[in-house]
Amino acid sequence: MRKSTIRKRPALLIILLFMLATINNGCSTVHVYQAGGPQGREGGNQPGTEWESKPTSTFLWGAIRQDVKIENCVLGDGSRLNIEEIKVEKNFGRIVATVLTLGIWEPVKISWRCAKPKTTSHD
Amino acid sequence: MIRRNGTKSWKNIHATVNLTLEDLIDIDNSNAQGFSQTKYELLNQASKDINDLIKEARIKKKHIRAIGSGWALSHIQVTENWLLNTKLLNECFEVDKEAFHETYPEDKKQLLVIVQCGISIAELNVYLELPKNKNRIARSLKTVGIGAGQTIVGAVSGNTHGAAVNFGAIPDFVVAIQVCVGAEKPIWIERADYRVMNDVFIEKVNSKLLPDTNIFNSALVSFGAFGIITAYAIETEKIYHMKFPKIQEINLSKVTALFRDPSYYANIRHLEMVFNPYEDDTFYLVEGTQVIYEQGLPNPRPLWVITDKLGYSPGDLTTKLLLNLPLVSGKKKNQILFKEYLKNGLLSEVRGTSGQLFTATITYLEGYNETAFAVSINDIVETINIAKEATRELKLPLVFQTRTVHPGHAVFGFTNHSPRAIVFEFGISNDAKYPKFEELLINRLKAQNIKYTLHWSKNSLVDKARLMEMYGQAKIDTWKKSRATLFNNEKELMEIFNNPHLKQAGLDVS
Ligand SMILES: Cc1cc2nc3c(=O)[nH]c(=O)nc-3n(C[C@H](O)[C@H](O)[C@H](O)COP(=O)(O)OP(=O)(O)OC[C@H]3O[C@@H](n4cnc5c(N)ncnc54)[C@H](O)[C@@H]3O)c2cc1C
Repeated sequence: MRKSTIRKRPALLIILLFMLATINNGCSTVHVYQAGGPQGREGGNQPGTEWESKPTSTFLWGAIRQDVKIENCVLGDGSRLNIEEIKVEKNFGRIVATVLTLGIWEPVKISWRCAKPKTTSHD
Repeated sequence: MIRRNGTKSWKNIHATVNLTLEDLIDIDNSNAQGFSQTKYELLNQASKDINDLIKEARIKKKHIRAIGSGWALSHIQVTENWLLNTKLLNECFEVDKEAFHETYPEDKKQLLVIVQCGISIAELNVYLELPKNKNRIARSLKTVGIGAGQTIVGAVSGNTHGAAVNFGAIPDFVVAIQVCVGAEKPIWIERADYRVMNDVFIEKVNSKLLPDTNIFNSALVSFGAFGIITAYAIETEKIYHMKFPKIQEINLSKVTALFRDPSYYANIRHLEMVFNPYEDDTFYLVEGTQVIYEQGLPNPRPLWVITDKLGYSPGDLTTKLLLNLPLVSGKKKNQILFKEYLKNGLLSEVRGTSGQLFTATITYLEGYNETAFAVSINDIVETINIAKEATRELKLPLVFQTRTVHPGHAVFGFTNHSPRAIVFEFGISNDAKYPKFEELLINRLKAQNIKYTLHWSKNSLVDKARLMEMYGQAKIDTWKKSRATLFNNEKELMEIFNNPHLKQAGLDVS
């Protein structure tokens, strides 16, 4: 949208900000995923499992951290799968908590999906 | 092996369906002993694990549903009890020469593969187009959708289609189905008049043969209602390239002349068209012709990648936000949307295999719905007018895309209009305007006596009356009778696979 349209219509800007906060649930999400594929072709997103997530926090500007241990990226026999993608989410409440505590408490939600095992050729 | 994750909340990829599950269950090809297994052992382990799970569900009176990639936007994967994630069953098997039925054509043998239910279209493309074994020829799928993230069984069960004007939709390349229904053995279904595998093979995969054309054609588009499908035999073809010239801008009279001329289709393989419903007489034609495969050509730029080089892209809910922006007219929003669509969503001046051209998988468009309906190509002009009028009336920002598909064999194939189906698709914000707009479209189509069908995996509006309008009593009876026969008329077993979608369509009872 052009700047001039927003300047001419301040109401639009306010509504836009309001909608960003409500429709977007005040939620900021960053996706981390694999890309590429054999011989340069784009394989895109190829998860093998559904989303799993855990809330986590850092305290005192990183002096204390709470790690996320991923235990579900395994096959039935216990052998490990890679991680296909990760999502880092902060909703409105988490953002407010970080601001009000001046970053002493910084909560986020981490989600992930595991990768698929490699398809092999069975002649 | 089976791995149970317990109670989970779950949503599909576009977050149009939100569920609380009693148990999310993963199934994979590993085994407790850690042995590497033969292809038959792998197939038999998966079908046994799944059959045992169904038997347990029966005893415990649980509903169970398989999911693939959760890409369906309608509620066809819904269950409140057990959801079985099949994505880890992603192996592909070549068939021994002596395993084919005696009537199966010789020239097709090297083109047939057995695929496990959870292999994705992208994985399958790599397996077929870039063979690891030097003795194998490179092959391609006969048709695919825009995306490549669906699992093979999910794509078939929800009637995924591309724009194969002379072939059909994804279900049309399946020639045998292995399905578990909680009986003593898995069932191996083939068409009675098109046999593929012989008794020795069927014995080796520990299955019971069911050569029945009606049951086969019903089980293709069956959205999880026919049990849990563990594997398909699919037919592919020798690798080919598709070549797309620059997108052509044409007017409605040219659209009418081309699309209604049967000879037009002789030389094209893939046909799409897009239009902005606010533009009066401009249509954009995307024509793909088949050309010989040439090694070493560069990969085409992937479509639908909305992330720039530095990783910036709109947030998950930004599309919904922009589409709902007040004080900006639908027409204005559409201008921006359409420009982006032409730039990022269409194949123009490219050449590649279907595995290189149709790769879209990364889509985080929560709150956004993709939906589609099909009519006969004979009704194209009237339907374009209806689409334009309805969009303008409700002042919606949306782009229409059409894809032309040859009719196929599935009983509930929504792309089976003659002489060809034209599928009208559009993306729309997932809110109250979506059902309102679709009702308006359907009512207008009905008012003009245009026979329509709704996309099973994109459209939630199929109820009893609509099912009858779309398919008629004879097809509904065939599908229901096939389901009952497959389950040996055991109501208790069928109930395991019933869900709200089937109930709404009146398909839960025989
Ligand atoms: C980005 C994107 C692009 C798309 N492009 C197209 C397109 O070009 N053309 C088109 O027609 N559609 C398209 N779709 C729709 C999509 O192809 C269908 O929704 C398809 O059915 C999804 O396959 P899936 O593996 O995700 O299956 P799911 O959504 O997980 O499941 C679909 C159905 O299959 C059933 N099922 C899955 N596995 C099994 C099994 N093993 N046994 C029995 N039943 C099973 C499920 O119960 C459910 O009823 C697109 C969707 C998205 C999100």
